Amino acid sequence: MNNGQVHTNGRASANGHAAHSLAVAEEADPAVPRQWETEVFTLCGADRNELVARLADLKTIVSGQSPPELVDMAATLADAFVTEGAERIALVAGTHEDLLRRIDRASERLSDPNCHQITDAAGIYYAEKPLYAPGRLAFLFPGEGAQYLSMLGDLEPHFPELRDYIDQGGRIFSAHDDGPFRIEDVFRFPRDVQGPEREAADRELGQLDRTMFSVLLGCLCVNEVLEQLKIVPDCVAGHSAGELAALSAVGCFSDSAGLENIPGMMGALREGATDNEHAEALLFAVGASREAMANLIQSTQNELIASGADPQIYIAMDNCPHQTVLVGAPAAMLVLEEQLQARKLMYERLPFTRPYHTHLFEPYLERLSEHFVADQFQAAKKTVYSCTTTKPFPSDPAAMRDLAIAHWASPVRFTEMVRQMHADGVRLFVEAGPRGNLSSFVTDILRGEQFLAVPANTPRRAGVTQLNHLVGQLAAHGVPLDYRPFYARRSPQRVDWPAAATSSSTAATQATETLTSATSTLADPLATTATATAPPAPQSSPAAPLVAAAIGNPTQFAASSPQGTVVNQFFHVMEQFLDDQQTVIQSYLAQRGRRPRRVVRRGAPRRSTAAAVAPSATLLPAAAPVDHAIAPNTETPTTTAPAEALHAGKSNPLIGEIVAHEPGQRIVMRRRLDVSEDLYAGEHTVGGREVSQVDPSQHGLPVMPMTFNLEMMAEVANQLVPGQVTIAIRDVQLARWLAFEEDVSLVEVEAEVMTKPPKDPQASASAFVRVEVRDLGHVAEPNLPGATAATGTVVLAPQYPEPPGCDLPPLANPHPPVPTLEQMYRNLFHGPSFQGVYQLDTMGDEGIQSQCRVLPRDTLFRSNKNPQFLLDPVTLDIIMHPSAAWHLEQPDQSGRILLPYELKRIEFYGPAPAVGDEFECQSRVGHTSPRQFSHDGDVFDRQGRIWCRLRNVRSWRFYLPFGEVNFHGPKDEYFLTQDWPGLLPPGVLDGAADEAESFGGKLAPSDVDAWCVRFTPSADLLQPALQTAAAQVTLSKNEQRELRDLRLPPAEHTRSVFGRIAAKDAARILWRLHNGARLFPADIEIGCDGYRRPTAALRGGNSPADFPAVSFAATDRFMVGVATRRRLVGVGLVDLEAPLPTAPAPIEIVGGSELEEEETQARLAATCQAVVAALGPELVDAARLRIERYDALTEIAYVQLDTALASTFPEFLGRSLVVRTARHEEHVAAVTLCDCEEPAA
Amino acid sequence: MNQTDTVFTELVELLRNFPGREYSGDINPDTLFFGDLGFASIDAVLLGEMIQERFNCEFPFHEALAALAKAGASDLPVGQLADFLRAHLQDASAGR
Repeated sequence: MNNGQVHTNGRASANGHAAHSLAVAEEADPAVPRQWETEVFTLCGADRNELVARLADLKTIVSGQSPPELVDMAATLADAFVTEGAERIALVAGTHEDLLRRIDRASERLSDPNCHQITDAAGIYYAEKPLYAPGRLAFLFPGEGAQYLSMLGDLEPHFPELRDYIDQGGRIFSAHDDGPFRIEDVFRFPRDVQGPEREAADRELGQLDRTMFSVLLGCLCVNEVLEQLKIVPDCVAGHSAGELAALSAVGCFSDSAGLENIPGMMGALREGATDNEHAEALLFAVGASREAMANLIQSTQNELIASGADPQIYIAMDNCPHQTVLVGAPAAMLVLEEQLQARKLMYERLPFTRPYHTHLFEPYLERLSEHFVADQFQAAKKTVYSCTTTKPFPSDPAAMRDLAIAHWASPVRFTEMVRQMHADGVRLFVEAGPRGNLSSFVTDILRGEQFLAVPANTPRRAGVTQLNHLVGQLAAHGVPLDYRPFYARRSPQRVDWPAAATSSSTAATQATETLTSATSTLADPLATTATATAPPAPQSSPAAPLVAAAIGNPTQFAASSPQGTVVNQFFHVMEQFLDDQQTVIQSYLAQRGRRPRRVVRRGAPRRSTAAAVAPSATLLPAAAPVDHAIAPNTETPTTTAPAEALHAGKSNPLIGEIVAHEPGQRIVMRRRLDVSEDLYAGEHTVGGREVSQVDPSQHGLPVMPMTFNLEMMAEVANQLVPGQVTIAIRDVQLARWLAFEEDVSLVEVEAEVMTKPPKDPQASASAFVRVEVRDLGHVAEPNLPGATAATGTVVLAPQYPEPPGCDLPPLANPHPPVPTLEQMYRNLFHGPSFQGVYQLDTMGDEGIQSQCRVLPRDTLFRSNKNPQFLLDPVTLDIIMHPSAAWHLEQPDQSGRILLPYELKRIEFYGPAPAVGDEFECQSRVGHTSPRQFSHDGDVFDRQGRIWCRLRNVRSWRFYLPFGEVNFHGPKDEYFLTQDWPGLLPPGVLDGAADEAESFGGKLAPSDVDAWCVRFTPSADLLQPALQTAAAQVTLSKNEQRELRDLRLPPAEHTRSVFGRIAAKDAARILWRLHNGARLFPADIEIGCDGYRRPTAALRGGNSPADFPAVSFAATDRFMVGVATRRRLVGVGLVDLEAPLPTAPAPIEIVGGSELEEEETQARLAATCQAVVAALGPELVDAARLRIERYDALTEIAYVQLDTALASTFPEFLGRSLVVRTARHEEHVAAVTLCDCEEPAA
Repeated sequence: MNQTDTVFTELVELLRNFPGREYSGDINPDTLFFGDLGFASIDAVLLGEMIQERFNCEFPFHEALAALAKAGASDLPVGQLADFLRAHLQDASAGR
């Protein structure tokens, strides 16, 4: 072959065909193999008969004595490929013989009038009714698990651009990980290397960061190839990590989104990623549907709960009807594995150990959100479907961001998403990444429907072969594409089509001429002098070069080119992803010792509970940055004025003292938060209201409702720009709640008129005022400049705009609500002044319609009986209550608290209503995920006009253990702890799941004289705000005061609060078993006696003499409490993950345990702690104890006191105290009731 | 026709008539399930169900998959699958 010259091959075939060598547009690339394993041959015809004729022509060529090379025939046909107004058939073959077989088989099938479609995996593709147009085409991007050694490496020679991408990816990865592992080696690992070397490389690849990075890079490479083939999707979607690739492919990440800060060592990501010995979770891919697995999980969990084991098993991925991925704690998953084997279900252990795609990962999403700030997202250029919601991503960048983050803690609903895509018109799915798993999922999901699902790459076929099959199938279904790049570097030669010598040939020639005169849909950028792009007539017309598609230079990655922009975005995404993974995983691993939330089990089925819609409580996590910085206030506070002076009359009831004022520009106001004045706060208490029988006025933590924040913002803005009305407040972020504690605190509100209006300003607005609310802490010692509590922008106008119509969708599946009003308010924490919903009308799948009334305002403030609000914050709070009723109907009621943190906007179309006015409320739920909830609302007056509109109220969900009541319910029915019978004398709770069940619901016999509980606070409960609320509702006021005065460090405070709760729960249970009375935890006070032994007494000074004695022990993440009717009790607790305390060596160990074993040491140390706690640290220390014996079989230690102590405790002289030990995960506890070992007979 | 042939023949028939999939090439004992026939792992689950229904017997496919994984095999020859089925059919008929 002579490159660049036109000459004629002088040979003539036996059939008289002439093959012309062609001028080539560019140099052949010697590095690119000319021969591929297979080629694809696409034939076009006006109808089926023409296709048959074309097949015959092709057969003639292939059957010739010196048939052309496959590449030349394939390239010739590629050049003639058309999609419009034609039928097509595609063949894939690797040899002439194979091709002849395909031709014969295809001809046979096409000749059968009953054949409407051919999808022969050997390589024959035809569709009488192509799916494309009206069917849509989607790209699916796979996530972790799709990567494999050697993936796409065999494409590098044929698509050299991929080499640059892989090298670039390698450089990025090396910047994160300077170890010997190279990401490029994944792609270039020799395919023929097998055995231990490949296994070792597979293990190396299995680490989390490498897995995800390599699969994202693989998606980039495949996407590049598809772009070169001009295969254009109508929409995209991703699976797990692949969602990032999908978002990036359609331009969702702004050019400025790349992270410049490359993280340091990624040791945390590498640590224990595939080491099952230290696995955080086990993952199984099971060959069964989600529905089948849900049933199996339920039955397995029942078994686990009955045995007292951790029952946490979750569905992480619903991939298709024959694959569900489950994740759970290792012990639980092993029990499940037994069930799978018993049922002979196919399953596979996956090489991952992280509980992604479950709520267990939610506490760490805040770190991701810090990186994915809203301005990194921009509107997608195409529809992107979400595997979390199964619907398209929202167009709002902030909402897009939130959903992208939420995906990591939400189950992958791939099955539902694909069905939705199909319902929306998608008929062709191309997997734009390695391996091909998603295509097989789609095939399983849509079985029986009209669709095509094809992978662009699979590990079991050569890369080019799979691309041929892909092109063949898409071509058959009419997808516009241009696969001439397949031949761009292989210098193909045009093959002449057979001359028309017979009638049939004439028809063929006419068909050919017809075809060549048809307008090609494919441009020929290099054919400036080409006479035709179709196969030429048999005459030796000037040979037109087979064109090579224009290929940009990807190494430049020029942002100005669309290709470069996408590539750059991909790499930005990958860099960002690595950074995020490191911080998220580091956070996760730092708290690894914190066990996940336990299911609270009290035996009786849990009644329906609902997340309290706490529309006005604010809470961490951190708010997004304020758009317009407001300079911190450095002025010193004025002296505290009498309360009356700080409430300037009935108007503006939330305005306090103005400390700075530049009219029309800036204002600063300070106000006391005093629950004795702000009576409304006492009716808005996180943690509920029924906290104490002794002191009915004790409630949960009073906090300022969010709507009062809004009212405060509006009033301050009104002071700054008087004479206007508030028509909207927008972009509200809530960072912390304003709590009303015993000491009066101070809040500061600073407002500044914005000189530049925000994006998308309302047309009628006259001023925009940016407001920041800051918590200054105790009024006596203000903490300047204060902590930001809330920010927002108040929109002012001369008058209210005309109210719009309702644009909320109608309720789907409308039906009468199941929950009652009483149930709704029982699951909220609002007092009577806020209980303004008086009727629940209609419930729907995504919302509720209700009626509410404006309540009297005379009980909201002590000194102001007629507050003249600008907005009416109480009514605004009330209109959000019906969402709680909606939650009560949802199937999953497990421990959720809703606390709002953001409000996109609230709009007003009229002034604050009058007392007694009634409204209809339409509430619609927006996005829901295990961690977030958003809703919208429209409020209509009796004339049917909208008074107020809420859009995108977002709340965080928090998980707290729910027993028979929710966190806000009556506390005498609420227990945070779980029973731990293993530390009690035998006979108690034998085989029973609950103390009530054990005794048939009757009072316990007298020999049940002790109770033990354990408690692992969830990560959510350990958050400072919720911990404060928990303390508020479980400790008496004296206890709260004592703890406050002690000013304990946070960890010690946590141990103290939750340790007391454990002791109180044990005492409450024991008291109920023997007296039948339920006690509130806040009505029990834990103190200590002169020997520093814990004591428990009923609050109020009339504690009965037989009230149980208690002891408790706590670490940062685990608490044990014991109560007894005996005189003495002690608890010891050792954390196996902390440095072990020393313990005296026992004189004897029986049962096979070795003294050197860590657990044995821990048990002995806990034993000593328990005895010391029981006898009193003022009297005893561990050095004065002697462990006579430790029996490893019974896990009981026998302890004697030295003779000096025996005089203080003569009843123990010469006798051994019995101390029972037990292990729960990474803790060892010991309990003694100071009973003595019975002497041997 | 002995049982081995019968099992192989019936298996080939199932493979050729797999829902939504056809294969015109030759299927012999060395034909690879994934590489030649183009099946995916999900198809294996469905095929397992079809095989159990065809032969009216429960097969421990999970054991077969585990053995494949343990052997580091990336593909399954059709003949090997037929051998697996035959062995378990024999066990079943022998009452084991």
